[in-house]
Amino acid sequence: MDCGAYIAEFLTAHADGELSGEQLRLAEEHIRGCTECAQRLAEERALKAIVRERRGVIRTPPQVRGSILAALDAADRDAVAVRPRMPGMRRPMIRHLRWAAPLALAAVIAFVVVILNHRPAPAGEFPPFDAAIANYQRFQSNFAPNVPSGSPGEIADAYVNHKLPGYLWNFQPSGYKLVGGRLDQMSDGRMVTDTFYRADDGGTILCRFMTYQNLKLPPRDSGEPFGEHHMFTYRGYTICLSYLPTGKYICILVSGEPMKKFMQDISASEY
Amino acid sequence: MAQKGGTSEEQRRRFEEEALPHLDALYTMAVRLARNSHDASDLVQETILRAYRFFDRFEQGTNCRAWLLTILFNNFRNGYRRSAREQPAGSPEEFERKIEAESLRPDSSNSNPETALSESGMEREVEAALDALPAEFREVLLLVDVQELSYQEISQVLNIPIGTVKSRVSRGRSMLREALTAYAKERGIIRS
Ligand SMILES: [Zn+2]
Repeated sequence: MDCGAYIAEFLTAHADGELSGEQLRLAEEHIRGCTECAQRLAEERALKAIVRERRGVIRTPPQVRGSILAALDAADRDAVAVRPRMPGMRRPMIRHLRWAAPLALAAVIAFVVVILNHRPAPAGEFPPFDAAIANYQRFQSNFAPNVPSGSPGEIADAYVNHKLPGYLWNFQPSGYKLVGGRLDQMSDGRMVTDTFYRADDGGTILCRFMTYQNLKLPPRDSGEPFGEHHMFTYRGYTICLSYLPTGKYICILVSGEPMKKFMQDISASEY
Repeated sequence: MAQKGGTSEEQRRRFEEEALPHLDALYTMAVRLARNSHDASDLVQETILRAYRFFDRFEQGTNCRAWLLTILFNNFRNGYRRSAREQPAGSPEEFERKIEAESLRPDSSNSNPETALSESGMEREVEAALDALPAEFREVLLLVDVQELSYQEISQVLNIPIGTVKSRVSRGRSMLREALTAYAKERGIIRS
């Protein structure tokens, strides 16, 4: 292959990772023998980096996120209630507006916290973190336990009965009360526990346990090491990831607090 | 409604697990298309609601982000009406500065000094070069470099042949390259 053919036919796709098989082999062979084209490829990648850097991810403003979740709730209600309303009656907007406000406020605080406590996010996207955060956000306004939640013991029993860890954090020293627990099945079939904690000042913590086989998680030694835990700032939330000594389970804690404060809460508590 | 015969509650949870993690990606694209945050918010909300309604049409195992972006682009092209509201930020530069504060810049603390951009006049040149790209080239570059979609997925999102995707990426990047050559030489990205 000559340089003209490489630049015309291969360069862009090569930089974008779109070549495979024989084409990739030919392109790499040319690059190994041609410093000029190797330089062009490096430039092409630098241009990609510039676009990514200058036009990168913009965080969804908390109030937009809140109103989208509220709109989804409204859509759910419309789907469930098959027109029980009187003709001409307007949609009950007030109900979701009432909780959208505190939800947005919590998110604003979490957002400001990120700015004040800026740390590099883990590179990449981690669906287990995203899923935990989605539930965390949802539970702010609406946490409905689905296991007996009269006492920590009842919750732990329910988890253990489904072959999940019966550990519960005790965040009382930091002012958090246990609200209750949920057991759910994820879309891939695995079971997950969600334990939710709330403080008088409105702060909340979500604790998830699940098995971690086939989940995309950050590398084991990444994040801010904290005892046996790994701390992350991810999409504006603080996440504490722990691998349980028993092997196949992880614990994901989600909090809206700055990392430092959340680490204090964790130190003050115990399983 | 749910393809796996789930209850609506399961459907909602599945949607939150698979679709909502892409909210920031959608918002980012919407801001770039609408060029003001009010319209971007409307566009994202419309997209999410439509995706939720038609979530049973999402093919499990395929790229959910690409599916959502397809809906977003369709909404933008078909249903979207530029609102009569005044644009909150006047010039593109002001707009950039305004959303700069909201941007996630995961690499900024430890980025390679070769590609790190200083707070200088050069930065404005980069902005100008990006803004000067015609929309059809800018869009494919955002889809490939920021949204990290494959050419095949972009072809689906924009409803154009894959060969057109490839030529637009190639052309867009050459235009950018030319515009930035002076800048890049100065920064050592391009040696000449
Ligand atoms: Zn060559």
